[in-house]
Order: sequence, then structure tokens, then C-alpha cells
Amino acid sequence: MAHFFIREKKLSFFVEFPKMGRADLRDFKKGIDESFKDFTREYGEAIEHFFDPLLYFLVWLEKLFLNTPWPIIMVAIAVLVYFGSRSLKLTIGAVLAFLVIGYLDMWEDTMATLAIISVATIVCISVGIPIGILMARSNRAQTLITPILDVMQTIPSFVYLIPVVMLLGIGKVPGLLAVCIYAIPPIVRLTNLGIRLVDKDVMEASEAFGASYSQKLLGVQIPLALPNIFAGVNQTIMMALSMVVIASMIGVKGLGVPVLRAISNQYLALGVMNGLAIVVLAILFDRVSQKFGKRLQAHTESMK
Amino acid sequence: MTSASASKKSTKNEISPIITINKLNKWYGKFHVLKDIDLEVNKTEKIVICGPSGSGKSTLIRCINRLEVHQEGSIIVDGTELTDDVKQINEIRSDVGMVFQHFNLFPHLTVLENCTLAPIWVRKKSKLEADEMAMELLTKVKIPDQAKKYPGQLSGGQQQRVAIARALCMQPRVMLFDEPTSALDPEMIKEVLETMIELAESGMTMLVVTHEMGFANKVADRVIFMDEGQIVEQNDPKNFFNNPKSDRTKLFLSQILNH
Repeated sequence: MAHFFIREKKLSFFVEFPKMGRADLRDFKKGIDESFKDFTREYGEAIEHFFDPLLYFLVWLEKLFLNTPWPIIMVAIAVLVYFGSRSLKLTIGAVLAFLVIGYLDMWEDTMATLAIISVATIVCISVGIPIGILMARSNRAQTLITPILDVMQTIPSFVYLIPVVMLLGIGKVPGLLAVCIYAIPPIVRLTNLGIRLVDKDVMEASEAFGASYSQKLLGVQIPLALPNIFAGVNQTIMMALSMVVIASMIGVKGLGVPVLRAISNQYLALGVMNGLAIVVLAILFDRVSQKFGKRLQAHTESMK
Repeated sequence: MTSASASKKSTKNEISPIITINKLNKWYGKFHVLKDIDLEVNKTEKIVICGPSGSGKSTLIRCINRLEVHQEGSIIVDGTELTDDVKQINEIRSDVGMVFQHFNLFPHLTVLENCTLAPIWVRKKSKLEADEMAMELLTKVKIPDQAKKYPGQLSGGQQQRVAIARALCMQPRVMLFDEPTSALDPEMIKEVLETMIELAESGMTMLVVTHEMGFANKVADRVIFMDEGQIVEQNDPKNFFNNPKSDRTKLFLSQILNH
């Protein structure tokens, strides 16, 4: 039947999708590209300067990590891990892991990765938590921001690398931005959720005392939402780490660079080693932040 | 208003109403919860509000510190009318203590911190001063030794006594109790009621929604019976229990007292 219709050139509407003309489509795409290029030419430099403080901070941190003698870094890591987790086992594990990383000549890349992850996490927390609070306060903000977060989490990272690179070129800041775009949604979502989940009865009690909005927020809501907020921080760190390889495509130093080299040259050992180093960092961050988060809520331990 | 007989017990000569409620009406959607409520509460007066569930008694006292918003009529607390003005609302709320059915303690804070949070944050007291007063009040409700524990570690009765101490730490002029013993095991009701009786004897103005008729008989200056959003009857406890006037009151009392 279908053959018959096509041959007769009848009902072509059903066989062929009604699409935009080829020329129109080309112009449409071109129009968008051109206008973004104009925007870049106009504001690119200003935006770049806007991110300068971030760049300086990142460079400073990287230098600090790289120029400090490794034993001092090792001691610092051990101290941080111990005070974060209060677990001797985890501390020893962390020190051993970093010794192996250094022994296998991945120290510098690991330090560079640590620097960018730290900066990305700080940026995500300081931007994400206020957005989450805003979402928890207003339903309209929530309905507006949720789809944006959905897009940020699901859109292939290469797609937003294009405008970022067009705007800021290749380098540390665009890489950092790409990491942040990918890593910020969990902290925003979980801050919002955590605050919304705070028991209504308890909020009523604080209202009955005549507490103002900020007093309620800082005294009751955020402390009670802290476990969820912390889960968000944890997720954000994990996602930032998983962006390391993609960020290295646009000029971020770190463990992603050798992984990329390994992909293009088929160096199995190099790829696996650096990949595992990323995994070690992820596990360490995860365990320490989880233990720390658990300690923050001593009251739930005593509930039973 | 039969406050003449009611204020007999409060021996103070100055009879000035601290709460004045005038033609109060409230709806939940189409449901008319409070119908033309008129009520005056004098300083140091103790009022017990009882009535079947759904009669609007909790809603009424929750309107007094605007945890519920009323649509018609006026509520004047200590000379200030409750309006939409957030600052005014917060001022009134800080002067009106509230004790909830489910305690509503802050689970992330210790007993002591529960008591000092509002004085420090809202009243801007120093930590030292707030701690001192909290310990004093915790001693009054007989649980100073639990100060360092978290609410989750205490029994229901102890939690409710903490809640009372916490409300008192704000040095309120009026205390509202919303069924303070309804969520408690029977053996714990007594300790909470004893605390409330002591508080009543200290001269606090109290509005108590409760079904504890023994408590009403003992401390109330006035008992109010509510049904279907209206004040059906109010009288001093002696007359209220011995010769209730309305049939609905009689029915309610027979149901609540004969079990």
C-alpha cells in the first residue's frame, strides 16, 4: 500500500515529515551563532575579568599544593582526614593511598586536581546553598529553577563546553565553570529538599517565639537540614571529580590530562593508573564527608 | 460576658483584660471554624477551654498568637491588635508562650539549648544570662539534671516539661496550652499537670485547651465549653461542673466524666 502511495505522489504528507527548508534552517542556526559571537566580542573580555579573582585563587591554590614539600601536604591530609572522620583506619588508608600515588609519579596531577576540585566545591557551595534556600522559600522560584537544574544535569557536557569556550577561550576558568555547571545541581536540590523537609511542628514552635525569617532559617531550618545539605555537598564533590577528564579537554591541568593522552594513544596502564587515582580521591572525599556529616547530627544517634 | 463571677478568684483589684477577642470569625475554605467568638481574658486569669474534637478550641488559641489567621473580628493582645504587620505579630508572639500537644522541641539542640535559643536570638540576651534563667526554670520543672541531653532521650512527660520551661524562658505575659497532655502516657500526665498547677499558682495568665477536668476544677477561674465553633457556655468550675445550663454541655460532661 505504502509503495503505491509514494509512487503516485499522493499523501506525501504522511511519508515525509514536514520540515523547515534547508536554507531557512541554515540561516536560523547561523543567526544564533552570529549573535552569540557578537555577544562574545562585546562582553567576552568583561566576563573574563569578572572571573579573574576565581582564576587567581585557583592558581594560588595550585601553586600552594605543588610548591609545598610533599611530607607537609601528607601531614595536612592526614590531619584533615582524621578531624573530618575521627577514624584512624581511614587516615592510614588516605596516607597510604597518597604514598602510592606519589610513588607512581602522579603527585603533581593529583595536586592540580585537588586544587580545582576544592575551588569548584567552594564555588558550588557558596552559590548553590543560597539558591537552594531561595527555592525552599518560594514555590515560584522552585518551579522556575527545577527545570534549569534538570537541563544542567542531563545536557551532555560537551554541549555547554561550546559556548563556554567561545566566551572564555581555553583555560582554567572555563574548565572550572564547566565543572561547576555539572556539579552544582545536587547541592541546590538537597538544600531545598532539606529545608522543606524540616518538621512543620518544629517550625511552628519557632514561629510561636516570634522568630524572624532569618532567625528561623539560621537557628532551626538549616541546622535541621544539615544532613541533607551535607549529602548535597558530598554529591557535588563526586560529580566535580567525574568532570575532571572532560575539563582537561579545555585546558585544566590534573589527572584528566594523562587519561586523555592514554585514550588517544591507547596507553592502557597510564589510563588505568590515573583513573584509579581519581577513584581514590573520590572515595576519600566521600568517606570523610559522610563521617563528618554523621557527626554533625549527634541528636539522631541518641534517638534510639 | 460573665467575667464578674470569673474574676472573683483573681484577687488583684485591677481587672484589666490582657486579651480581648471581639466577634472573631474564621473559615477553613468553606468550613466555618470559629463563629462570632467574644472573649476577654484578665491578667492572672486561668481559663480552661474544653469541647468535643473539631469544636475549634485549638484553632481559637492558635489565633491568639496568629499561628492561624482569622478573617473577621479583632484580637487585641496586651493593647496591640493582631494585624498582618509581621513585626507586630512577632512582638506579640514573643510575649505569648505556647505549649504544643506534641512538644515540638528542637531535636537538634540539647534541653538547655532548646530553652536558650529564643531568649538569645529573639530577646538578644547574653548566653550566660539565658543559661542561668534556663537552669532556674528547668529546676522549677524538676529536670535540671537532663539539661545536657537531647529531647529524643527524654520521656514524653519530661519533654513536655522542657517545652513549658522553654516557653517560660521568654518571660511571657500569657501562656497558651494546646492539649498539653493529650499525647502523653497516663502515668506521665500527672507530672505535667503538677508543673502547670505550680505555674498557675505563681500567677501566670493561662489559656489551656484540655480534657483534664480535674485540672480545670482545681485551677481554672473560668471554664469555657465550645462546640461547633461557638462558645456555648462559660462559668466558674464549680457551677460549670455541678449545674451546666446547656444540654450540649451536659452531654459532653456526661461523656467525658463517666468513663
